[in-house]
Amino acid sequence: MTTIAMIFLLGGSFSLILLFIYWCDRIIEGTKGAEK
Amino acid sequence: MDLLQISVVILFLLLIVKPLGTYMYHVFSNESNRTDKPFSWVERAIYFICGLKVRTQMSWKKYALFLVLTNIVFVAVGFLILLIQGYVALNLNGIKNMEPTLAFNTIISFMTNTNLQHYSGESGLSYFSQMAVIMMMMFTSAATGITVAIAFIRGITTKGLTIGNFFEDFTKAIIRILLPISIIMTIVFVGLKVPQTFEATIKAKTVEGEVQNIAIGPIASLETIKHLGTNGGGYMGANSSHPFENPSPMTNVLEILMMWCIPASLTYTYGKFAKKQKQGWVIFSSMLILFIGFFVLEYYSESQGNPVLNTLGLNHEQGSMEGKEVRFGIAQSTLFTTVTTSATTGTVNNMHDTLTPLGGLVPLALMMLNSVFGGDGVGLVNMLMYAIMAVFICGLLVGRTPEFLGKKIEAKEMKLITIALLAHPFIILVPTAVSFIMELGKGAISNPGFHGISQVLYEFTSSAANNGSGNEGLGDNTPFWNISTGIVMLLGRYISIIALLGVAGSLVKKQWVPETIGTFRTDNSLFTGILIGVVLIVGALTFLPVLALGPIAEYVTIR
Repeated sequence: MTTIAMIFLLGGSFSLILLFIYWCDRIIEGTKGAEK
Repeated sequence: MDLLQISVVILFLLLIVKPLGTYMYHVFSNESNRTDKPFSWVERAIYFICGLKVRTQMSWKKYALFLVLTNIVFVAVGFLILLIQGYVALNLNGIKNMEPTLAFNTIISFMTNTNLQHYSGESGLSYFSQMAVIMMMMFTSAATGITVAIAFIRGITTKGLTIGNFFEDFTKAIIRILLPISIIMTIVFVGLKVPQTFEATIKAKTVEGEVQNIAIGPIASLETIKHLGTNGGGYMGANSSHPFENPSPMTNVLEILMMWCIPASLTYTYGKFAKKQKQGWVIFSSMLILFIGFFVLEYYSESQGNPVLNTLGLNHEQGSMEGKEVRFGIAQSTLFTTVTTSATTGTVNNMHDTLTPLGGLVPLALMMLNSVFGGDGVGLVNMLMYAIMAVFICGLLVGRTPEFLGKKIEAKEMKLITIALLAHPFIILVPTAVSFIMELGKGAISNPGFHGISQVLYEFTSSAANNGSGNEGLGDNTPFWNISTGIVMLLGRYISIIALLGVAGSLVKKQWVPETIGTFRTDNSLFTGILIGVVLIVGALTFLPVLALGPIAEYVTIR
């Protein structure tokens, strides 16, 4: 049970990290859009 | 004698910086050079096996994505091995499978280059786990850090749409830098009496008739990449204070130089990429000045002895030797401590929990700043982040658009830098505060009073800075500490890496701004001073209150 919980925790954490890449990209691209 | 020892080590470092920095420039400059001949055939074979015959240049987003995905694969494989190590080959000492929360903590710890250890290597890992998980992660996490630095350097020094190919940089970092140096140094370490064997633990009978287990194993090979990769995770629980890991002052000096050389030399590589060597020296000088300042405090504090013992009238001529190895003395112990926390390696040759209050403040402060040399690659990137911050502040002061290396710094870059800058204190201070609220956190403290605050603070600071050294007074192998520090390590590693790769991706697309008489110069002593000031002011504003509650309060209490 603990093993499954840890697998989910690892998966969830890395999913959030992958989402963070797209959030940073939106900061870069989004600001460019606002300047236009 | 102490001064001589310290000066010699720093002199050796200065001698290494230029050749190693130049070598790394040639490795990553993507131009044909002499490093191709001995290594390119190995790389071609790896590219062929991995289906990477065509290696296209990547945008920052793709670079970051492949970096994280590659790390996820390593984590998945390593996590599985730790969970089933009891059934896998090369388990000569009958080590059991690792407990899941400890495996969670360990795998994140080594993938993030932290090497925080809530276990003892000699009793918690099989030989297969030591090599296939721990040593493999030591190579890959260090290579990941180096690739981030190279991608960031390309971003701020070149013009285009891409920052390189992650897989090519990653392979080159391992094949051309980490592996050759590790092989040579492993042989040197074996010559200096560090064990390298597959024999099982020796059972010796003592004079009193008791049986003593003497752990051995493939230690020399782990020892080299442990330091070269600014990893820090020891083969033994006692890390580099154990006589098999660090038998003599000679091995101690080599270990110091190995963990220091890549972070220091990358500043020279940066100067080569920028086509202005002065830029690299400014960064190097800023780091060295900060380092020396902190080292002087560390050395002075430890050499004065323990204030409490001094008041009892005990002789303190040898300094505060509690928790230190006699074969290293004060000079080599304090230098090791300062280098291991500035280069965020985390290896220890003395007990950090028994450092004097101000001696304990130094490693904490260096990990909080996380930019004084720093880990392989990430330290340079963090210092360049502060450099951009310094340029931005100066630009605001004089009312000009800030520029760094001929590229305008705008709101989007500053937003990402602010995220990276604020994430670090957030993931240290919030979990520290939460730990004091919860019994699960408070229960682990072994030392009451202000020193207990330092113990908890040290654990989260070490995790967030991806340092990994332990205060060792904390009972930290519990699900609460395994999971909380695991999450802090993940955030500490990837938030800043991704945000700063984003900055690189944004800057690489920008047009060069021609240098004019009004351009704020970033290659002179004035900027060195400003950079040091910014690092110290930002660090002090963020962390001084909590330091006042921990080591400073302890110092005031017992002096």
